Amino acid sequence: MTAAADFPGSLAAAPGDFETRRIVYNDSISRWFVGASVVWGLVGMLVGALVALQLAWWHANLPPYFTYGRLRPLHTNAVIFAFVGNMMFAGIYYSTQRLVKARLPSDLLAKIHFWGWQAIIVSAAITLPLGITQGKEYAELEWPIDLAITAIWIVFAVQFFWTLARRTEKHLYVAIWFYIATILTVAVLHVVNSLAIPVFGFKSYSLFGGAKDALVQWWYGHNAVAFVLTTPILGIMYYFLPKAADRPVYSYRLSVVHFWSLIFVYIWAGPHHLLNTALPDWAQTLGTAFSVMLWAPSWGGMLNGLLTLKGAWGKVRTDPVLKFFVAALTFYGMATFEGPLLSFKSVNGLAHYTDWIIAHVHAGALGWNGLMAAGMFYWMVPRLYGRDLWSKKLADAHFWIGTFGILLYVISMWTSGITQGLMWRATDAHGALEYPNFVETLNAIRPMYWMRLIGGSMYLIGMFMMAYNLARTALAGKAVDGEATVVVERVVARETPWAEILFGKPVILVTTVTILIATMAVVNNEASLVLSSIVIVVAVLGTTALHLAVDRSRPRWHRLLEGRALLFSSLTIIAVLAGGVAELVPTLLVTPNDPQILAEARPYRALELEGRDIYVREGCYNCHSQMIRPFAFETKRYGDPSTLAESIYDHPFQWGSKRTGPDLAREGDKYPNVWHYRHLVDARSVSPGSNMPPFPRLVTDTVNLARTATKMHALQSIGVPYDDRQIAAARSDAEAQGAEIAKNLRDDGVAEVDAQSEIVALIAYLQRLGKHPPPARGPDVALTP
Amino acid sequence: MYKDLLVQSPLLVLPIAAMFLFLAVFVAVAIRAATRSREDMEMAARLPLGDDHDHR
Repeated sequence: MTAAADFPGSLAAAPGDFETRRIVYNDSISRWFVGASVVWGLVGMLVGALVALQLAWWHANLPPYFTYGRLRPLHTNAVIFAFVGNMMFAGIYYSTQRLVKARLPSDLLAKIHFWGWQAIIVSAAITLPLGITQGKEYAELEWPIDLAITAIWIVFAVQFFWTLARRTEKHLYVAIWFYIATILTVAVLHVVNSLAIPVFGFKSYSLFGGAKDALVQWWYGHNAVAFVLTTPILGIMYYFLPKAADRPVYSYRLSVVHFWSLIFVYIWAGPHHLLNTALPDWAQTLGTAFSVMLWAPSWGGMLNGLLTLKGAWGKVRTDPVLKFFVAALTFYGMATFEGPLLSFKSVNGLAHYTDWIIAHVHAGALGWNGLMAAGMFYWMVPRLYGRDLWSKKLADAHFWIGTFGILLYVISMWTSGITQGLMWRATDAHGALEYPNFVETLNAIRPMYWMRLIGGSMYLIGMFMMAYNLARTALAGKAVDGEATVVVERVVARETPWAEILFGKPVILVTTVTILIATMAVVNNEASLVLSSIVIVVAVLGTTALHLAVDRSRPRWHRLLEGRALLFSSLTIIAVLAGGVAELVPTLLVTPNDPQILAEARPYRALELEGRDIYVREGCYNCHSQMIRPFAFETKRYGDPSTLAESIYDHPFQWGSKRTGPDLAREGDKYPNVWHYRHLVDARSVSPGSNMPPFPRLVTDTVNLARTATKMHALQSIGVPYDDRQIAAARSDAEAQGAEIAKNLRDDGVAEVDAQSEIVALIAYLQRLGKHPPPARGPDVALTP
Repeated sequence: MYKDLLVQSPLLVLPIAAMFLFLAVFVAVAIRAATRSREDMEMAARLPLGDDHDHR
């Protein structure tokens, strides 16, 4: 057993100063979270199968609550935050207590964390089908739920750091570092991206608009993948894989480099979700550069995991736990190879908005997260219930059906994505689009949608097998809590002062070199490259010299750091914030002063704003982008490339990330009102072969115009230039615009149209997209010649 | 090239400086990790093993 005195940063105690202490871990919390993860995993993947069916067979849409646009966010949120979230909490609580040799300090906080998190999931499952959404991917939940997430995350953080404070093992194992990074970074990401102005109980507008909102959203979205789906799971891998293989991690050195390089690099890569868009070029290039750099730490971590099995590969054949871990790491390697590849602008030009991205995320979610979860559950549940797994054969069957299901899923989506991407850009000898009708490109990939459904369903069957196997194991056993005996000092040894660590040689060295290089880069334009290279060489030589001159009897700097949880956490948060601030601030603080941008930009009229809220509510952004990229094949199909001006007052932005349907950035005036009317009621009536859900309720449901002025006032408070006259006239303006559209529809043969119906408002919005109406007329002034 | 970039906004010095900071930290961490003693590493790597009783 490791005692505190083993830690080189403490002063050694005399033999009589030790006592033996027995620790009984709180494993109930891990049992609850495992159960919740399995249940929500089944729910989330069932919804996933349903939305996959809806894409292949539109009849599976059940409006108004169970349409694709409302259910897809439910699927993503359930899988990310309910399935992986609960799995992550189970693994973190189980491994942290054992790694730091301390029981969770508060059973009450554990209960609040568990039940609070489940309540959040239930509220998501209710509000999303009701169309209550902020319209930002993976951050759809409205502001009261966002506040609840913040509160419960604080509870989790308090419990975790309190446990670290009570630890009897001084050294913080690498898994704990990943957990620290997760807790701190997710807190920052969630708070910044959720900044919004509440309008009503469950309605808010994002504080950011247009490109700013896009950058913040994808800084969040990308890092949700990094710090919810990657870092905690890597921590879990670093704990559970050595346990299952019964051998230490292959290279602890590599794990140190893996951790710091991953958290330093990941936070920057968000803009790769916005390549070839209206986002400033420098931000796009930054996203590409850091995405390419991510290759190294990601593969370093994967290889470290796989090489841990060196000499134990025979066990992989017989142990289902190791099978799942090995396959999970392989999928991790595959997905993290594919991610940087997709971040090259040319590759991204083909893949973005297509199903290739869906293949990529599912290789990660089903392959890496899902299989890691299964391996961890098969390892933990027998130990949590004091008996062997009920059926190893069933676990093996789960492994094979699950793995085959993922392959079927991923291959079908690769095929679909590349096919559709190539069809979008195909031109004939005269330069005209070969497939000008978007539906043609959709119908070409429909067989792949059925194939995806089969693959996903196979994976889901595997999940049911696992649930049954784990339930039988638990029912046949009895809940037992882990125990450990530790030898601790009666009097806590003196720790190395924080100042000694904070002003250690590596910190001084890095700070000096950074200041020097940055100064030269800014001041001396031409010579900076040469001088920077010289400084780097000097830094490397200097570090080597420092190393040779070091006092061997004293503990090393990073070793000291690993024993100081608070300082370690502070450095982690600095690493993450430095990346976030440096990337976001230049875009967020710059106010567009381009006169053309300002001249073109106009806020939405009252009815258009109501129509936009309906567009967001129905989740149209899940299938339609509003961002025309500067490619000839895009401008031929959709019109001029999108500009920053066109979305500057969009709170939230609606650039989208997937085109199951065509881009709508310049939809205005492309079709008459009656076409939109018929298309929204049943898309097949004007676009045969479409898989868009029908929205018949839009005809009968009406817009509450009494609330429009309040919405405009809220937007005015966050910078949308409505003047008070416009807000005061919101209702009359909306009624006038609605009456005009309704009359036009009646003239074109629609029998009954309510001017205040939701469909009229949505048509008003769609007809506005890409149009720049002249400035509102002021008082008549005589024009001088 | 830098001047072209900075014309857009002086705040763009932020990502440049931060990128250099990150590169410097990476080099420092890599060197420190490579030069740590084998005993230190082995002790840390063995932390997850044999940490509690198996009740099965």
